Amino acid sequence: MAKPFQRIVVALLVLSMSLLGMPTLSMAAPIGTETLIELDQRDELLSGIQAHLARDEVRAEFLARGVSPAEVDERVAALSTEELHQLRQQIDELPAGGILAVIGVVFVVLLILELVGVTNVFTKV
Amino acid sequence: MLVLAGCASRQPVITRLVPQATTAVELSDTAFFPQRDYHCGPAALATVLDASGISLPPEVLASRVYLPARQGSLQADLVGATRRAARIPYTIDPDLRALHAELDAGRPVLVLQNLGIGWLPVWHYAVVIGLDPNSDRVVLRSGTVRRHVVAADEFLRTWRLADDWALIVLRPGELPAEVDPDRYLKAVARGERYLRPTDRAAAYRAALKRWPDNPVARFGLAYALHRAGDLAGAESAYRALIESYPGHAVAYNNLADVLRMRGCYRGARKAAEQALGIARRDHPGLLEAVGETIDEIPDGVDAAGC
Repeated sequence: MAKPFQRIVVALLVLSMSLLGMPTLSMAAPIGTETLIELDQRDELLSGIQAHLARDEVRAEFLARGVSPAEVDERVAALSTEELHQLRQQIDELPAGGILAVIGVVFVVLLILELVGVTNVFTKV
Repeated sequence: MLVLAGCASRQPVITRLVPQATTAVELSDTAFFPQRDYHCGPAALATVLDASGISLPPEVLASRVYLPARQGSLQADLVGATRRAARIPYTIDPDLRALHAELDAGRPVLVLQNLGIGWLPVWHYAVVIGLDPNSDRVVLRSGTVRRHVVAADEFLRTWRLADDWALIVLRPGELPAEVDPDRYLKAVARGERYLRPTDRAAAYRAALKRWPDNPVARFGLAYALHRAGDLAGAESAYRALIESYPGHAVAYNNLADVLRMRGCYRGARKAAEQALGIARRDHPGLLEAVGETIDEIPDGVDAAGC
């Protein structure tokens, strides 16, 4: 047991910070290297709760975009805070590599570009 | 303008950008996983993982990287899936020189390409396995083509449109051919929980060999030893770190944990108090974690040898 005084100080500080809306890191000892690095990047550390929110949001966005419920947690867990923030903001704009076939208007435009020699989508995939 | 450029006579691109590339390199042993459906992400990732000694079929990787509604895979998911495969995903410098250096070191390079144009992107992943300065061509494992040979300027155009993004997969203990310390250590740290303790230590030892004083690498190794149960090794590594960086709250916190595990409760409490003092002053975000460390230290008599 720690000395009562210390426990009170810790409790008060934690409480005061949560009242200020400043999030704390929730984790069991010991502290890992990833946290150490985020500590140096003060923004990320201070946004501990936001990171948590980002995780939940990206999880929901993944589910809405067809990721299986059985897979989604592990998938989100493998992403860093920075990556989560980026996904949260741009999941539908970021590059998603995958082509095999190009359809519709895109097809027509690219076919024309292909014919005039700008692209090589059709011959070179 | 692009059309005109296409008509201009070609000056050898590879020789100009990578003067040191005098002979052709091709990693012809690289596995090939023909793409199915929209799964170039899983196929390309399976290729580079295989080259690093991890055999995971594209069908398994698809559930880890494919995003059905986008009919494709995001870069972040390729990176995350590499971590989950206990390998280190490292984004190399966005230029042909860095790419050549990796091929030269025997590592195939996963690249993102935009095969369309800027405002009408067609995103595609492929794996570069060769460069030939003589014919000025790039060799890829791509889509359904095992050995896809492209003119270097054509490849560079599609790569440029994807911000020259290129990923390599490292075995723990390997460093990239051209390496930025911060980027490497970030890459290791972000995936460290997926690495076996010995692999973790190997990844940080490789960094320490190159940058002996790097504080993140020193901490990473200490933490790896800690988690592996090498308490004596971890203790001396944390103490050395604290000697160099007296304000290292995280090292103090973890030292307290090691001492507690050794049964040295008085020392543990002292270290935790240090951590608490520094956290209070400099890193309030750590207070809760330090509080937990303190809570875990029992009242009791120190073990022998403390």
